[in-house]
Amino acid sequence: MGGWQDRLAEVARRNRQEIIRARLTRREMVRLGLLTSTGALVLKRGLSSRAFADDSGNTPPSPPVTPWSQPMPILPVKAPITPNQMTAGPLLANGTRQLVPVDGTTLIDGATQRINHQLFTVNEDGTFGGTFPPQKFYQFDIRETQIRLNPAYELTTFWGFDGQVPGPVIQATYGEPALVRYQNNLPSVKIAQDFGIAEVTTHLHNAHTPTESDGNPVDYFNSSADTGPINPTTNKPVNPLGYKDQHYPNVYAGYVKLGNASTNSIATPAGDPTEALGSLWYHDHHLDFTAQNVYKGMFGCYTLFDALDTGDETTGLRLPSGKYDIPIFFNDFVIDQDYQLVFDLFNLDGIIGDRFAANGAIQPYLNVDQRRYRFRLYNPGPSRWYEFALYDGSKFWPFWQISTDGNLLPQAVQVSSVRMGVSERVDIIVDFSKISAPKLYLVNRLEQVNGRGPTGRVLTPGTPIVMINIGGLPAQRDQSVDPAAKPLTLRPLPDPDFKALQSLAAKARVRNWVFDQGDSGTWVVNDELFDPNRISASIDQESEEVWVFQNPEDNWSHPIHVHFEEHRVLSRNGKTVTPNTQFNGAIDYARRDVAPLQQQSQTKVFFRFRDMKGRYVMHCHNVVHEDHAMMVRFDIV
Amino acid sequence: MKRRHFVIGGALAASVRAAPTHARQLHQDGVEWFTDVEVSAHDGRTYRFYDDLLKGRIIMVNFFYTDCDLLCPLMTDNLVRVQALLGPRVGRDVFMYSISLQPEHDTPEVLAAYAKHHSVGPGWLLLTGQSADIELLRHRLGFVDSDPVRDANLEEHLGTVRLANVPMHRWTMTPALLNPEQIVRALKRVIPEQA
Repeated sequence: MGGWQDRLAEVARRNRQEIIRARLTRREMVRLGLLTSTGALVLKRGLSSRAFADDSGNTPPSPPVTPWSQPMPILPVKAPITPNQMTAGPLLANGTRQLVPVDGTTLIDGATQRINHQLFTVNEDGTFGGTFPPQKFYQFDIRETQIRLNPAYELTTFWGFDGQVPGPVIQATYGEPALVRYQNNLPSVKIAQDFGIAEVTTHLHNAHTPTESDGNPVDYFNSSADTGPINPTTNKPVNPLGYKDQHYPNVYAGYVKLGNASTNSIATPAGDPTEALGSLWYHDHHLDFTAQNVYKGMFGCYTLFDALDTGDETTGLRLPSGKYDIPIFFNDFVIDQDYQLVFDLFNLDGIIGDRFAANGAIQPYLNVDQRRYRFRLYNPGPSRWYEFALYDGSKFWPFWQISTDGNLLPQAVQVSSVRMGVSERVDIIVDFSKISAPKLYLVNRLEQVNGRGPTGRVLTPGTPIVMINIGGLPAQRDQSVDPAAKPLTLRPLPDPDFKALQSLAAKARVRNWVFDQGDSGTWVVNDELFDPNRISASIDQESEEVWVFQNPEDNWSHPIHVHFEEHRVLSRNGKTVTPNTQFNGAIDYARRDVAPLQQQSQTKVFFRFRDMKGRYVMHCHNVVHEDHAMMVRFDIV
Repeated sequence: MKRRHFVIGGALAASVRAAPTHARQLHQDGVEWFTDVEVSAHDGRTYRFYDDLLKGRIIMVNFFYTDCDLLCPLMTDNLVRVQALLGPRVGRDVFMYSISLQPEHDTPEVLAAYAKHHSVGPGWLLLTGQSADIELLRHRLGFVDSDPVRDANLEEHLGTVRLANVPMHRWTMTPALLNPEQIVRALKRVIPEQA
């Protein structure tokens, strides 16, 4: 393991690389204070994380870690509270915050105004009404926090939901609308930070959410440490207590057409159950600052259950459940010698790191029993793509993929790896009772040397991220379904007849979206830069549309995410998908919310825009690209 | 296709302060990162880049060159509109800089003529300097295409503006051709608690 001298040497080498690229002479370097007269490079830390992972073969600079020396953290499940426990504002002397009831309004437009929630109301007696009155209540304390990423490290400062990175799991149920209060208790926006901005707007990724609760990039709001914008009419602050209420109806898409909103309940959820979502995540979406804020820790887990995917392995589809259903968030970080996060503010391509964390621990271990597990794999970015596989030291073991973007497939597919662009989720089942190896490594096989996207090279074995120790038999018998016993049918598709879907698509309006580098080195969609006031598509509610996503560049990848609705893939690169077509291992005609556009590719998809009206966005989920204007606004009207 | 060429060596001023050697808390900040290279402005004065132009300030900075007949005139004209929207704040609490990508051609006199032609107002400096110094600034401010071929093509230079609250270490960027109101809004987002 390298000592501090080695690290200094690494930094110096990297600095020299950068200086060589800048074509400076020795004399100029002396003049600029980069080189002493004796020729030693002046030590400068964290010069450029672009250089950290470029293709020059440099040794990564983050401090060394002790791998496999800490357990992989299991994300805690968030406990609901009652509406009369809702609080907000700065901490009071007694260590609590003042009670602030839910008032049926929420903030939009940079906390400059409040509007009413569309789909619920607050009655005079404090009970809830409207289309989907909330039944479950949660409250997040978004705050600065310290996390030890590895036993070899000192504490690292993050910003996290409830001070945790990743944030805790909200286990939601279809038919049971939730209200989530986000308290922004970050340090005052007036306090200097290495990077990131202490304003937040939380997007629940892939949820069917009313616009005012969607976490639109322009709907960021101030910390409770700050006054926030002043209402010009009343001359009073709009959001002095620094919080925002967001309403998650937890309904399937399609309830307007089906007319079943009024019977919404856990027993009979509103909408079309074939539209169910499973593995969602929440994350910050601040205009221009998403990459910085998400890298700083502002993301967490949200899962949705229903009568098929029950969260109980003795009912419904009998998927592995409880402590055998484990979400794992993968991050890549660059860490400096003070063990703090490094974010390259001057990088346009995307930020990639050299240390890999699973649930906030760098290279942890996970002890498992000899039984089946469901892992929900999450790629929160900001810019790295992964191809996950299970390696025993000499060979790879197959497993079962059961979702794309967290939405259950019609049928489980046996795969040997899964590829994931930024923001994608894949659920897998691994049967450790059938793996005759004492331990496995969960490895990333996909090579990526800069923020542009993967090179396409698949490495053997790749980078190990989690060491999985396979123990003995579980104390209780595994009651989950065995995907190997028979083809495992999961959730039927909304349009099971693909030919019928294609004829619907043939009649639908087509919109083309080209994701490209602008002439001027900026990121554009259809040659346009993001302007939150420009509506790039006005879409009739309940309409069906075909969208064609295109990436004409040969050295960039763009994982495209559309808020609010899932899509079905119709064709890739002009080639029609079939029920048997696999893309990166998974069945390709499944429901998705991310179109991972690799180099020079085109994806044609089918959409229905249902149930709600308002403004939403579509953007590249390489969030560095998103922050640099690769985003469009679309309105459902 | 024009290629950048570099005037290396030559008579260089030797009066740059040494960077502080103590450990710093912030990365990509201060004189260590932004350097105190000497730059000349179209107003005929010379400035130290960090100490005189960045330190303690809210700034907008982009790169351009006067011979550019594609993107730069559009960018400059758009930024003139941004300057008009910001009004008297420019030069008071917001400072605008445009740095030449052809410093050997764009002398302070050439820049002064360009500024006059485009109605660049006070509080906005067009800057030039030694080629290697400007090249270093270009790297440090992130106006670099990671594709070396594209990066070497002057006509494909980045059409972006960096917006920063330097003392807060809050940096973002916006396309220079975004509509001026949006650029002003993006700038205001780096300024905490605008009244």
